[in-house]
Amino acid sequence: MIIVMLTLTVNLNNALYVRTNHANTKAHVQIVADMLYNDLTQAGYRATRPVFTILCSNDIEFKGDIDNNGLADTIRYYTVPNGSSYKLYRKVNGGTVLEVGKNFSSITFQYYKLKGKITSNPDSIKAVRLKVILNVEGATEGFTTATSNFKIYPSNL
Amino acid sequence: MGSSKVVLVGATSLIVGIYSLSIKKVESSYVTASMNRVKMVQLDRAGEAALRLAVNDLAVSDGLWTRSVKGMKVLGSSADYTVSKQGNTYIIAATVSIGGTTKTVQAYVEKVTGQAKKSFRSVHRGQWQVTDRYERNQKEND
Repeated sequence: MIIVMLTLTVNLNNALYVRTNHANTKAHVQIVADMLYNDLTQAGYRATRPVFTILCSNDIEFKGDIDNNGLADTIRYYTVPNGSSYKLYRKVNGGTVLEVGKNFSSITFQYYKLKGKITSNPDSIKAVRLKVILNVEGATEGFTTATSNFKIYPSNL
Repeated sequence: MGSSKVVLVGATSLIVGIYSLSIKKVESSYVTASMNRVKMVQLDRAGEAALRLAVNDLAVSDGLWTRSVKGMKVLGSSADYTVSKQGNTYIIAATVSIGGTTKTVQAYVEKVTGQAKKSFRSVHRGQWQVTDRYERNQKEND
């Protein structure tokens, strides 16, 4: 009887730990996604063409007045391998590099034309798709990652 | 039923109950994360609608109305906008709020010669079109 009770407690505790860890990771992904979203929606605002100066699947640089001070800023997001995962960095106007997060399974940027086709021409970009996958710390099975996948249509492109 | 069985059943129910409540709490954080995304999309749509209304105002008055409109109901949100003039450019500052989160949209509007550029993404009405815009999401306690 005692063994049954202990097993039940351990199993439930484990299930709760996994779910809590996954929920926390989802919240972290959300924060990173919101940050990227808020910057990318300003792409092109008060900026000269071409707005996008780097367009890779793991590296993006664009211009836009993100602080509404009348001057266009240059914002860059890029990933750097860190063991088996990646770190995401943000740089504004060539200033200090900020580590946005680590332990990402992948972060990919895809660039789209007006009619929804993928493009690599900076002048044709009208939308950017972001896919952020963050590893759940310590999870080896079940909920191992949390994902945020969405498309942004900056208004000034 | 012996007293030991009663204790066992009671203890098991208590353990399961406590964990059920904890897991339910975790589930609600999943819902909160999803709802944040929904709110953001909703605010985007409401901001767009408020901006379109303000540009329509400008086009109807042909640039004569520079005014403040408050408390409009737009797609389930409350919206305010102000139209001011700076040289030949009109500045629309629209604010929409849903459940404690506010979105501010600042747009520069000009009257063009001929028809405004037509595109499903650009905000325009008649000869009036948005040339530049800035958007900002802000939570109540920011």
